[in-house]
Parts: sequence; structure tokens; C-alpha cells
Amino acid sequence: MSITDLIPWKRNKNVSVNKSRSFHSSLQNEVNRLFDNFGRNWDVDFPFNKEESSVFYPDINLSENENECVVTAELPGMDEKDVNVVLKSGGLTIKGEKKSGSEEKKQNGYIYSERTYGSFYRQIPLPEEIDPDSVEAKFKNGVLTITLPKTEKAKAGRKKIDIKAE
Amino acid sequence: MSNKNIQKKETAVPHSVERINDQPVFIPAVDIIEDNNFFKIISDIPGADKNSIDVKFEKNVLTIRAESLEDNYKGELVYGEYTTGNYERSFSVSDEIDSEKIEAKYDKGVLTLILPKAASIKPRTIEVKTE
Repeated sequence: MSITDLIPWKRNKNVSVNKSRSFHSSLQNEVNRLFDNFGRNWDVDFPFNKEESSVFYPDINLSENENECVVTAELPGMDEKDVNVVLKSGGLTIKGEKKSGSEEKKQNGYIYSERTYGSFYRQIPLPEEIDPDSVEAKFKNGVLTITLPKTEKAKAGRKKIDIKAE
Repeated sequence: MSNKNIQKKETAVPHSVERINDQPVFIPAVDIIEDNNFFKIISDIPGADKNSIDVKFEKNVLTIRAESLEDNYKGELVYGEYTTGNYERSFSVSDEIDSEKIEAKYDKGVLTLILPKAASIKPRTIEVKTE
């Protein structure tokens, strides 16, 4: 864990914490995020934003306690058949495709189209070693929750430091 | 990206309005489709519990509200891109809609509303008679 991981996450504020392994990838993420955020709060559609219409980027949260890590992803309109979750050394990969109502689109007139469709791919670096056999994933109300229990070794590696008062 | 941002943009609450709770309010992204017989409003409200969804039609304004309060956290959040909160969005609806027959369906985090058009505005084929 590097010192850059220790940025606090603030509820109700759009502060994202990047949990990256190396300085270079975290810099890369920062730059990507900068571009992603550019124009975010303006009601103007930039041409370069529109290009991404067939790729979207579902929002994820990662939480952790002593025994497990939990990844949640907002994937409205999708079910277990549309999503592929793979655990590899170093991270968790979530990919899938959200099919648009393309038949509806052909037949009828769209007045508004704000929802995102298309394929996505997200790779999430995990903070500690995960026991691959006991990972569970479930879908509820369009939110995918993946529970990743830590290995005994990873749990044993944690040591609480006593603070002595002088 | 722009579409996703709409989904997660907080509504601007006027300063004179006090919020009842400290949960943020999001404007859900919608698709609106017109067909010969109905309008269809499809809205992404991931995480919303079915029982929390409230669809109201009052004075030609259709309002959808939902709560997504289950955060599924275990322990502390180490990386966050979204927060739980409420969804709220209103639509002005003209008299062309048969408000008695509005239907709502919720599945997999997606709310679908069907607003049938009133009989008076549906396209009609006029029969041509021979004399």
C-alpha cells in the first residue's frame, strides 16, 4: 500500500479515491479522470463525449473489512447473463454488454435518449489476497455485489499495533 | 460520458428549501419513446427498492421518486464512485395522455412507465365510402 492510497473518501462529495498499485498507473488514472470530468457539470454535449456512446463505464464501490472485500457495481437493466466476472491475480475484471432496445429504437421515435448502452470493461485492483473458491456474486435491483473473502494468509498478515501512552 | 453524468447529477435544490434528510437526490437518466398508441419512459434507478418507488400524477405533472439506500458495504469504503441516495424526476404531461391508464413496471433497476395516448389524438384511418 502506498501513501497515495490514504486519501479519504468523502460521502456526499464527488471525491474519488484511486487505489492503484503503481505511481504510473495512478497518474494515468488521474489524467483519464481529468478528461472524463471535463465538462461534467455543463449541460453541453461535447463531440468527444458523444463518441463514447457505445461504451460506458459503470460506477463501482469497493469496501473492505477484516475478512472480505466487497465490490458493488451499478448495472441497471442487466442480469447475470449479460455480465462476466473474472478473478485473476492482481484484480477483478467485470465486463459485459448492456443491450439497447434496438428493436424499439427502429420502430419508434426516440424523444429522449439519456441512458447508456453498450459494452463495458472494468478492472479493479484488489487490496489483498482473495480466496478464489469462495467468491460470491449476486444481482439485486440492478446492482451487482461481489463478495471476495480474504485468504487466511492475508488475514494473518494484519497486525494491530498497540499504542502506548507515556 | 455525458449520459452517465446526467444520471448522477444532483438536483439543484433551491436555497429556500430544506432537505428532509441528508441523502443526496439524483436525477435518473431516462429514455422517452413515442409510439402510435403510447409514450414510454424508461428510467435507470439502480439499487432502488421496489417498495420505495413512488409514481404520482398530479396537475399534469408526472413525478417519479425512489430510494436507493442499501449500500452493501462491509467495513469501510476504500474506493467510491457512487453513493446511495434518492432519485427524483418530474415530467410535464399534456392532456394528450390518458392519465387513468398510466402503467409502471420495475425490473432489474429499470423503471418503465407506459403513458397511453388519449383516444382523441391517436392516428385514425378514415374509411372512404363510395356513393
